[in-house]
Amino acid sequence: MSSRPELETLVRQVASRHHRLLARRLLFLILATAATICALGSMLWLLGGYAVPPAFPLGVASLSLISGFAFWQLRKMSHAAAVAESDHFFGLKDAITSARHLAATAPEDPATELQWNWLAPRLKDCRPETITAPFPKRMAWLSLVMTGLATWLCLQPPSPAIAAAQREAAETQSRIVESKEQLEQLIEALEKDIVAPEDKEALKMDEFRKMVKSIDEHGDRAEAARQFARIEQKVRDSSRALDQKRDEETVKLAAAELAKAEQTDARQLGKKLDAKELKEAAEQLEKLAAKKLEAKDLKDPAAKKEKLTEAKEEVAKMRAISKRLAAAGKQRQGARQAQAGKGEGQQGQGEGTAGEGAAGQMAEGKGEEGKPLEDLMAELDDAAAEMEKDLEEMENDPDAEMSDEPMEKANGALGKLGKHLKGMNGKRMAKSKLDQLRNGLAQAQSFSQGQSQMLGLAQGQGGKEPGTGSSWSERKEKDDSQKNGQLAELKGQHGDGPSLSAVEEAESGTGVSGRRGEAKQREFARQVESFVQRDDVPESLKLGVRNYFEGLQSATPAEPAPKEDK
Amino acid sequence: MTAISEPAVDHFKETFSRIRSAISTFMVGQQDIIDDVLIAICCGGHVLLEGVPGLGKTSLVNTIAQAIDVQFKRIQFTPDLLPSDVVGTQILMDRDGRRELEFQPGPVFCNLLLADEINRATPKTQAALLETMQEKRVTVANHTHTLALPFFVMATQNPIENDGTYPLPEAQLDRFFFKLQVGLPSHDEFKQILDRTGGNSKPHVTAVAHGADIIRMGETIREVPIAPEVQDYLVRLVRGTHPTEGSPKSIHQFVRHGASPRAGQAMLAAARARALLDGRFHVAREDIDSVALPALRHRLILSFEGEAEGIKPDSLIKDVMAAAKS
Repeated sequence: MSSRPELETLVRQVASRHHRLLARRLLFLILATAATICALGSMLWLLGGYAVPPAFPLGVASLSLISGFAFWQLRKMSHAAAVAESDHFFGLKDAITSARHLAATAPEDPATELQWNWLAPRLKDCRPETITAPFPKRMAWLSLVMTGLATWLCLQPPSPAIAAAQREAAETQSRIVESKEQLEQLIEALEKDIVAPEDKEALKMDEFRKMVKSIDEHGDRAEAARQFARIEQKVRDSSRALDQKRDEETVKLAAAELAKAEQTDARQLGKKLDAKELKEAAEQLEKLAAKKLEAKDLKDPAAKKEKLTEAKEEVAKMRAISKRLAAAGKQRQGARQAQAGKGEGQQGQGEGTAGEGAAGQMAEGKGEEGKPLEDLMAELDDAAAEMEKDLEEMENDPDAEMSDEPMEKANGALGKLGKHLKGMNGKRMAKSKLDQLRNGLAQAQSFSQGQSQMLGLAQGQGGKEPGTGSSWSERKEKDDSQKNGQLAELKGQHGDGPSLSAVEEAESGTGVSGRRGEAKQREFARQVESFVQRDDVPESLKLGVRNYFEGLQSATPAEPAPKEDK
Repeated sequence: MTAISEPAVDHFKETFSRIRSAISTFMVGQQDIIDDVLIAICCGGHVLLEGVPGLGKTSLVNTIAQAIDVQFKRIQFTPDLLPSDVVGTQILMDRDGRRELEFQPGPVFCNLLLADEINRATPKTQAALLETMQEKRVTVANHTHTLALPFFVMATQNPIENDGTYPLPEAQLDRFFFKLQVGLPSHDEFKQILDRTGGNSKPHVTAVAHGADIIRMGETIREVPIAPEVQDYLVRLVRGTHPTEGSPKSIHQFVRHGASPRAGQAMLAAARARALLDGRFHVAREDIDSVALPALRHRLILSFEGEAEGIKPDSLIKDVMAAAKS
């Protein structure tokens, strides 16, 4: 506005001086306000037992700085105000205001020159540095005291209980992260072993991987346990869907029958079945398929006799095996009927087991055209018998013609049986993988709850993998919190607490009388169920109990198994 | 009209100083009153002097008339004074056997008119001064007679005598440039007054200026520049005397009507004169403050509550000044 640079310089200096003084005053004011807010907020945290999070004082400080700067900008003297202040402070009686106006509007007017002549000598005595303001001592002291108080409060540690809870949460979180990593590695490893696409589809490893990835990493143990339990439940359901207990029992009976056979092939097949080498057994069965007799070979009587002899030998081999298999199938059917009759009396008690069995049967029924293994065995025996009969007729009657139907039927039955056995082998392997995964999940859950110290799902035997190191040293002082995240320790005198050897009453059960042994077994099962339902029992121990009874269940399939913990 | 120049300013200051010195040879003290009266004269305004009897109001005007070589007349206002006694009348004259009406000018036909105890005349007579003061001309029997310039009215009035007085109407009050309140002299001034007037010798006041000087001084005053910010302050001050939004609480409570734009004009002119007297060539807020009381005090019309409470307009004007500064 003005063409008098010395005027503008003076006004700017005056404004700058005021801005500095305002900044000094605001600095202490903002500092005192921020420190007071910090102190009050910190007290709220400390009263709750928590340490003050570093973000709070930093946030308050940042906000205070921003608001202080904004306030300073708003309160900064405008140029017009600086002009008026310059006039006022130096006692120039609006001379600067008038001079700027005159210089801008009428620079050539005599009045402008007269006015400037009046002002110019007076400007020399105007020194902006003489503009002072008293130092805000009280505000400075207050801000210093409040800052000290706020700093002290912000540095206070949390209460021991809260600190322990926070350590536990952090421990849980890190353990969940580690569990997730190891579970993903485990799934990767399990998936590598599966080659067949149908097995991959049956296992649904991708689904489990997604579920593992979606586990939230936070410090809530209960929520972590729930998340792991949900996945474990899913895996267990998938594993149950692959259950083929009935067919395995049949295979076992077949192995026992074949072991009694005189023929070497049959005994070998029995051994394979006994060793659960179902794929090899299926291949051996498929090799028993009879070769079709060509019409040209049957024209010559001598050749016909020779071919018939060979065919009879093959059929005899097949028949020897099919008879044993059929016998085993009949035994299995008889046992089932007997168990069904007995099961009616124990319907209430064995409901869970029957349900599981039914589920297993339903799952198996989807295998080989919906037929159970014993039916396929019977079908094979029937076809083999028919084929044998046909061969005998041909031998007795030279004019009789060989029909292809029994042979195709027998070969078809062999094929079905082999395919069924191969399917069983695949399911068995898949179930094994799922069980491994389930065990892994249980271990991970236990690890995340701090009930076990190590989680070696993805590690081989003998420590860490090559190339991975650790700073662990046995000589170092141990932090208790690193044990399992739980600082609670058992204290007391021996014998004061609950004894593991004490007999506990079951929380459920009807106490149905029966034979003495079975009653004892039921009582034991109820005790164990009660035991595994207790919250204070570590998950690893529960897992051990569960594995024990699952082992028992597979060892004695005819007996009702104890119900698994849910 | 002359543009402001150093000689013009020097002439203003020198003439003003001479007149002031001449007056001071007779008048003791009352320097502020003398300055304000002279400022009003320079600005072409009329002054209402208010004070108890015997404070030298009439003497002041007489002295000014002597110091400035202008035609001076005095009217002693009484209840029976007629308008024609003020402005003049037509009388029947016999000129060589022919009788004709001839205008006989009244005492207003002068340069400096002293209207002594103006509130003793009837409103009708007071109103006769209205046109004279504002238009500086007189109309009698459809004939307008222009007054010689410069023309000033110095009126006095006694504030304590209410019986037989006729308060000046607002319209007439507004025509006065300043209303000055003449106060008691101090102890020393009192003694000086006694010394000067107690003997046989009377101080003789010589004329030190003429009417043309006064007109030139007025032209110089009007050339003093004012910055928009200072002008804005003046406007806020005048507008603040009205009981409108933004005015002080006391104004809302005790004032019915505030000052007119004519008050602003008077303040600006007087502030310019103040600036020149202070040696400056620009108007400052201080100049406006210094003339606010005499320029505004007679222009505030108090409300009934203000009258009943005995509120002094000066205190209200100070409130307005404080509000305008904030």
